[in-house]
Amino acid sequence: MSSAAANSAAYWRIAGMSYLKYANACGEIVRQSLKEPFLSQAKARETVYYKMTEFASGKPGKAVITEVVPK
Amino acid sequence: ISLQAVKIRMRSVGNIQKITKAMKMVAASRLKGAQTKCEKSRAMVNPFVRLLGDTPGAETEQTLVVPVSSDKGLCGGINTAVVKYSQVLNAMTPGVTYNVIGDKARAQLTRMMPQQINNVIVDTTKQPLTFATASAIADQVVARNAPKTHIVYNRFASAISFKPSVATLMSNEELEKAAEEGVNEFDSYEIEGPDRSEFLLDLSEFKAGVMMYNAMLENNTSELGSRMQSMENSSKNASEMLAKLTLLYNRTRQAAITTELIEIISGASSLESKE
Amino acid sequence: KMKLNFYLPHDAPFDKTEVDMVLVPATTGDFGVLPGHVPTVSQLRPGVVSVHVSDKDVQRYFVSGGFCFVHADSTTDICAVEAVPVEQLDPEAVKKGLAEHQAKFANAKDDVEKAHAQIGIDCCNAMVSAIEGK
Repeated sequence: MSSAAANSAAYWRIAGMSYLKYANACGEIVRQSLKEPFLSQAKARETVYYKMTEFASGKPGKAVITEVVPK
Repeated sequence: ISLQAVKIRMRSVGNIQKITKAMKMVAASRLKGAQTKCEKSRAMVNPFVRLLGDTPGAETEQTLVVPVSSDKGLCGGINTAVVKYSQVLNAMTPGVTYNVIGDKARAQLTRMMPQQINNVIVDTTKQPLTFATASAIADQVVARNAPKTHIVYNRFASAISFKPSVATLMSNEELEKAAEEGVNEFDSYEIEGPDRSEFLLDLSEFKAGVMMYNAMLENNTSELGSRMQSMENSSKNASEMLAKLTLLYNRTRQAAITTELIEIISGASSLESKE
Repeated sequence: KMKLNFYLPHDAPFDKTEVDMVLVPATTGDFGVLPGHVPTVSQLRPGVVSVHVSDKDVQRYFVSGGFCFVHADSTTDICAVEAVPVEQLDPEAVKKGLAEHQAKFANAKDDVEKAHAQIGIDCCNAMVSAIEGK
């Protein structure tokens, strides 16, 4: 962790979140508060999907899928 | 050559052409949407570059390289270009490690320098790419704490032109150094928010997400354009080959008919002469 | 007049648009940007960005946070993850969301859950005042 993060007073930073995590969490709350038809349109922006494999000393570990399906 | 063999050959070339044509159509129909999405994501990168500058040549002890490639092949040379650029960065800069995106760069880089791979991310286009996905991937980049990160991708110019590009992301410590040395103009701005080093940390993290989102969309759009083009070429090749084979088929058939005719005529004439 | 660029990852509500004034919600307090404003970078909190395109045309957007850069040449860049016109917000959904996040905050088991609930409460409170502030 960088020194700026360690000294931060922001509550989300203290909880171990990055600015991106914080900003996306805020965005999600705003999206969920929309009227129709805007709500349905915005839902498409919630989707997260990727598969990650960590490497340790040149050898791949187990692949982990991260998936967020809009509710 | 037997007539049968030529016919089999023609059928298989015809089938290949059907497939390449279909792949071209699929890529073409996706390209328009991808291009619009990609161009919209482009604008947001500019404000950050304007404020924080672009210093690809800054010297740091460690560098993280993020090659962005496609998961599928048959799309011309775009993945080869990304791998080559990533190799060059490795030769030019000390302490390079990789966060690889896409199966094509994975296949090559894990073979060439397995020790330098941190992680590999694939299937990012299985669902339409969102800023949320790009942010999660950018968080993996940010978590490495590298002073400098290069994102290598193909920038989309038009359906027939893509430029291998390198986008540079500096850590907040490096941005502070750059501000002090006057490399960027950050210090000529007043700050409304947290104090300077924390502000730069938040900014660089946000910039990572924005740049990653754009780079992945650019590369995806380039992939579609490049696939469209290479499938177009394959279809053309198949057409040419089919034309040649048709000619060969007709000639062979004509030759067979002629031989048959000669046999019949000579048979008939020999009968005639006997009478 | 000054130039406004208002960018989101998926859209650009304003792109090099000539406007009179912009009010932005910085984490340190709201401030207005007029032509000739001193160069400023500001971090935004969830709140309302008011774009005064002209005297008669004032557009209010709710932003989820992000950054605002005011450059020396009277260009202003606003970058955020989400921004929606205030009238697209559903007051009922906001109230329901606020109650849910308050309940989550009370039952949070760790710092991360607590932070997530706090974000929900902050955003919803900001949206309530945005809707009421008409």
